[in-house]
Amino acid sequence: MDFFAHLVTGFGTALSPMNLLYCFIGVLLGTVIGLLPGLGSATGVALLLPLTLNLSPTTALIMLAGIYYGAQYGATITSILIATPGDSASVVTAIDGYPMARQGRAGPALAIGAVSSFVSGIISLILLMALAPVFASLALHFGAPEICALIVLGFTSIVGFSGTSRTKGLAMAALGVAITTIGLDPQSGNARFTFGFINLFGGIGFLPVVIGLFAVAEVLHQVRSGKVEPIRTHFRDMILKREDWRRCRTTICGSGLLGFFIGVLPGAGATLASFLGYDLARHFSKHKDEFGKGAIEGVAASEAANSAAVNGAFVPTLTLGIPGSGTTAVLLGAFIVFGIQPGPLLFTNEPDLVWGLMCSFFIGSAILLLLNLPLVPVFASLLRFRYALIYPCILFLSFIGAYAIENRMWGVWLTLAFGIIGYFMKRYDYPTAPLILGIVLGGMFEKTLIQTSSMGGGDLTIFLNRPIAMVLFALAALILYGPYLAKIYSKIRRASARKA
Amino acid sequence: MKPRGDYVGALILVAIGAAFSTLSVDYGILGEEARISPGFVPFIVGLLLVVFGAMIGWETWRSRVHATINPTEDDTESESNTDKGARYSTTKSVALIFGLLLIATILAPILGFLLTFSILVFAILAGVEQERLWFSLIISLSIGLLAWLIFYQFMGIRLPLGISAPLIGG
Repeated sequence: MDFFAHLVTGFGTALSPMNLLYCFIGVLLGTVIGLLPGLGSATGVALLLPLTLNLSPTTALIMLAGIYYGAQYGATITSILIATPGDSASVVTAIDGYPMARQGRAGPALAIGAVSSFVSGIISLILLMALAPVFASLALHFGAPEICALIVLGFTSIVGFSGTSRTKGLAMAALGVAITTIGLDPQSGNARFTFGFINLFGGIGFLPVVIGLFAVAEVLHQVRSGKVEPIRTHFRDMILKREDWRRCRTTICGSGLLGFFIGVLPGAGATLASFLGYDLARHFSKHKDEFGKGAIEGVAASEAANSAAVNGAFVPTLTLGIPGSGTTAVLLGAFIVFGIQPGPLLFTNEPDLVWGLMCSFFIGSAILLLLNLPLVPVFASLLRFRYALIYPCILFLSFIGAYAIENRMWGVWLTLAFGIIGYFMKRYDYPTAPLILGIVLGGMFEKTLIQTSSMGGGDLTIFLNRPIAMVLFALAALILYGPYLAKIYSKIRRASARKA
Repeated sequence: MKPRGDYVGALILVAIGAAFSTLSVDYGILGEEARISPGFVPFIVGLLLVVFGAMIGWETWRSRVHATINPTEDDTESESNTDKGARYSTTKSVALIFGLLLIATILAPILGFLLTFSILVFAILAGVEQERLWFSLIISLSIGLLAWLIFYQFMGIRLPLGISAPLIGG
């Protein structure tokens, strides 16, 4: 009964005209920020935090959450239209979204992105409201060995992103992990592979690499491939068809649930969720061959997992005071600025704020959908311009975004270097997604491995005493070797049938 | 199949892997009680890179041998002169854009970020894409102005102004 009473209070707070207005402004500003390469939700929330200081804490947090949501979708738009992911979590969306756009299906890609974000967002919000304390206690069972095993499971998705050669995919993932070891060592704080070069002390930033590998490399690749024709489509091709929805509905639910659970785990984040959500969808899809070439389920899976993970990240933030992602870390800072202490007592001490905030997520998701769905044909019309006019502007915005990440030229140099590397990778069929996956997971993998090693006093057999970790390892082994075992099994069966 | 590129790629991966593994020994692989030391992960991924690089080289060699024994239409098809000309022209454009980006990155702190990259847009449109000069000028000025409004004025990002500081108001 308490739950429904809180829900009524929450919606009462969220639907007040003032909160509704600021939620709308937040979503709108967030979408604009998300459209700019490099400026993800964390930067957006941090940049616009000062604008909310004169508002009441509830209104301010509702607006900041709106920015968070809006930025996620803004990043999706650029991922699909120009292969320039605004933040790390939308990298996977570009894998199928961009080929869809080049095939004249930018409209359905953008629409399914918005719809799947909305649907999985709603599912995960219900879970967040009803079961936040349960998930929080579950997350507490995830120590370093379990997170390490989860990351190993994340690495298995390389198989799905490797394209024509699995060896190249594995090599790129290893290269990604190697790149994360440049900079200060997480254990001792000593510099590794920096050669006295001060810029390398902070490591190689993720976003400049992504902008270089995706945006710059794609531009150069398109220029090399010759005259790129503008994409002119009819209005009817820009809307989502029943068949598209039929193909995606189970994917949205499955990847959404997985995304939410990964989002709950502190530090795992929406990027890992989108990679794993995509891989899950690929495994169970009837159209496996289309993945990576413009499968609508690929976009739906990535966006559903990403959006659900965003909500999942609020579980440890609100209930334990531990940020579940980079952006919730900034939001946690905002809580403290407003004199609110997140943690187990937050639900008891500030019910109006917590339930108002959670209900505003519903409102924010709905506003986002209502705002963006009618604009899909407008966004998609961008591709009607000649590519010769678009790409210099993409380069301009990419480099300015690369500078804005850390306000220094180092990001620009990295973007240029990885743009060149990415161009040659495309030319010689080296897949970029495993490299990104390696960079996303490499740092986390090393950190959790070191922590596990310390927990076991140097003995890594500690994994054997952790049932959750063992289940995750078994799942990883099943994903990697399952298809081979199934082939061997069917061969044996066929041979024995012939004998009989 | 692009065997030469794959051999070069394989070789680069082996070299990077060998460098990571060798250098990581200095940071220590295993510490007290066999605890993981800072060199452990780079040592392992370095070795993996060597192995994967060698495998790519081996797979390329094997597929090349296979292509020699059983040539397909793709292997024997030669590029026409027109295709070669078009390929040369687009490769030249890519090289030109590389060069312009490099020059822009060097000059950005001196001339100012917005001015340099607006000039870059103009140079690509007018030089590489052969658009009309006035049209290239309008596009480059518009994108520069838009970026100044969004990034500099609205978001407050302090871009390097260089000699264009008086122009931008820094």
